[in-house]
Amino acid sequence: MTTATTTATDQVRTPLTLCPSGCRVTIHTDELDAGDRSMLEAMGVDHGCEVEICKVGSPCILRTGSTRLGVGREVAARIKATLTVSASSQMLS
Amino acid sequence: MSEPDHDQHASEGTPTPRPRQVALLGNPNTGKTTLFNRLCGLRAQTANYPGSTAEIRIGRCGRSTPPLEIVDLPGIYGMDLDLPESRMCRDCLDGRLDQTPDAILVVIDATAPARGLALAIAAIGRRLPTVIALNFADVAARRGISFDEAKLAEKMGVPVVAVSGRTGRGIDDLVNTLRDATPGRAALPRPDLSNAERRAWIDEAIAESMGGRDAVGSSRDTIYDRLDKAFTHPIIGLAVFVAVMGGLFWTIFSLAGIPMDLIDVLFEKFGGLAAAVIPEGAIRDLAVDGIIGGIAGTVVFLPQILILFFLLALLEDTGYLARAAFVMDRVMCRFGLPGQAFVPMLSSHACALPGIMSARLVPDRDDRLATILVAPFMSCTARLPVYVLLIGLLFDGSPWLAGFAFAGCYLLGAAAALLSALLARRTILPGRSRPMVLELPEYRRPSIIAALLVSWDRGLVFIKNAGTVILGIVIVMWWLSAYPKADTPDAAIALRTQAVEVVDVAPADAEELEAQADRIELEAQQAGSFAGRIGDFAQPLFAPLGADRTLTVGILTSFLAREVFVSSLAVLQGGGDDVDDEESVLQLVRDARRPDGSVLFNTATAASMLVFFVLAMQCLPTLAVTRRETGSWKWPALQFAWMTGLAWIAAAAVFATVNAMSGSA
Ligand SMILES: Nc1nc2c(ncn2[C@@H]2O[C@H](COP(=O)(O)OP(=O)(O)OP(=O)(O)O)[C@@H](O)[C@H]2O)c(=O)[nH]1
Ligand SMILES: [Mg+2]
Repeated sequence: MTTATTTATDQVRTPLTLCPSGCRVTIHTDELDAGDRSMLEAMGVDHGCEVEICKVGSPCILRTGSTRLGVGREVAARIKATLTVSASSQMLS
Repeated sequence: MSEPDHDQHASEGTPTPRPRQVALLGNPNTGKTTLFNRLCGLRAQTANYPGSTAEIRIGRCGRSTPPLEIVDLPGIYGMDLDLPESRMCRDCLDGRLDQTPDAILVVIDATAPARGLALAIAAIGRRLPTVIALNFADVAARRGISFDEAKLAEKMGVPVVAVSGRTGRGIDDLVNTLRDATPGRAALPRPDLSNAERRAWIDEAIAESMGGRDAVGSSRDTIYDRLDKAFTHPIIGLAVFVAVMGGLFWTIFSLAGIPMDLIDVLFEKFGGLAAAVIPEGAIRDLAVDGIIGGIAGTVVFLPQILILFFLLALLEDTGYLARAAFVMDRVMCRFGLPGQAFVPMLSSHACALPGIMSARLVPDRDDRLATILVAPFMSCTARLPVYVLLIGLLFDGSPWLAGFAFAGCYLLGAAAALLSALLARRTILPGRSRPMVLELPEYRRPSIIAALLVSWDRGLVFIKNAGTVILGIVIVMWWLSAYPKADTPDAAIALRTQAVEVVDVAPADAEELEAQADRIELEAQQAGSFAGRIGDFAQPLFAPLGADRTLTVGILTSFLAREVFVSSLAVLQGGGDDVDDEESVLQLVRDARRPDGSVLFNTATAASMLVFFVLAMQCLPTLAVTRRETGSWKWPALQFAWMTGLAWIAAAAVFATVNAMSGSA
């Protein structure tokens, strides 16, 4: 078991920038200000939706459905996530 | 809001009814412009609405009888966002820009329809006749995605047509549907639903009407992941970016040279022809020197502009630029600019005109204004001759120092640009930078035709601008320097008489005498002209930079275009304006004296002039293009005042410092 799955079972909200890449997470945008939140929403990432993290860093790259979003580090750090499927278990499946 | 400045409705006197107007609405990159071009061909007009930096294209679609009027709107993610594009779409649909459109065409990417459908729901809620175009039907078919248009239409309550802007599939069907469209009537999700509920409704609609979506290959995702990781990597990404941009500008410079020379020659021939046809006098001067010369000086940049926009459009189409924006964002964000501002800044090193025009790559209005404002600080090629001359004076015989000085000039320009941008973002454009969240579009094979259309469009805009504002300014400047006509000085008359006397015995000497007479005459003309008098008047202003009267006139004429400085200095120092040889100009300028007999270009003056030319806004075409792109004279005025003011202060400081140092040494 990796540390990432431990975090997941704890349901701890971690900044997107600290999530491992390759995992699926639930997104929490309630700490963003209204403008950023509604923009993300319109782009397909709203509070409570599930996305796959393709890359962590600057930028973070998220995938929801068939769209890919690049999120700058500054915004990514304010987006919180809880792990739903870790990278390792996804690889096994 | 006032009327847009397009002449679409110029023929309003005739009683023919206005054509049915259809607004194209959709997420970015869903192919609205491609569809627009399909529907309207080249008969599109660009409408620049006052106070906006974005343009809306309006075209007439002749495929339908009666014809439709199509409006291409900028791509948006949501109708209610507090972003300029969203505002513009709202204004358009509410009839605040022009008229309320008669129908809305929502363009949706059939390979990723969810977000587009959310926008469609918002559009249908406006109770205007609405049609949904499922674009990218060709790609969907290739990927094995099937859709039942009738079912989706039933669910959404409006007609749905599968089309491909690229192949032309379904276009005729679409045109007919648009002509007959009526307002939607459906049980759309109630507006008070939560986001999750609305999303579920949309997912259901998609599940009912589309099949094979799971066929979307995961192998493509893996490749995309790898490419994205590489292109946004801090080191690999930067290396790729440098290579791509290097290739881009290398191509521009190597391809643009030939047509630029051709334009030069052509206009020269044309000027010669005009000079031969039009009788001598004011009209001929105006036509040849004012109009033809003025147009030539601007139109030479056309090849660069066409090639730059062609290549940029190709590059944007591939999907690479969105990735590159993140690479550059790491650098640019320190200066309050987004990553996309990098391309305009880089282009401005060639020439600020294409640089400013390419600022439309910057999505946010305030970011874009800041970029446009500071882009001309970048050392453009027109400054090079001046750098060569002044650095030659300063560091004669030490190529290393000269090389450093060159690099220093470029650095000074870039630093001034970035710091000014930071200042602007902190003061006059205090809006918070748009958060760096970008959709990474699919990697696509670029369309050459689309790129040609973009470059044609930009070229046309540029020519129009050159033919109106720039031409007007150039004529005024020309008039100021050519009038009033000074009397021919006695010295020149004496030289001419002498030349006539010796022409039979020594034709070479006679020619030399004639040339001397020309120079004296020109000098007298320069001094006596309005420009010269303004020079007299303005000399005290430039004295702190070490300029005397002739140099002041040189500086003032270079506000017309910097490259004039070297030739006008040569003229003012009595060298004639055909002194092409750099060495001889250098010698002339080095020998130049002030009225009191001291050397004009001492170290302090040369250094202060160099700094002044790096920073000052001395390019009328740039101001005209800034006005066009920003839609108001406020920005070019600010650009001029800030750049020139900063240049003056910096140059005066350099002059005083160098003088103090040489005084104490
Ligand atoms: N294969 C295929 N490519 C298309 C189709 N329609 C558009 N494209 C391509 O998709 C890319 C984006 O098209 P645009 O027409 O610029 O999209 P847009 O909606 O105007 O984009 P914005 O103005 O930025 O919102 C271009 O590379 C087009 O060539 C289509 O039906 N099939
Ligand atoms: Mg478009």
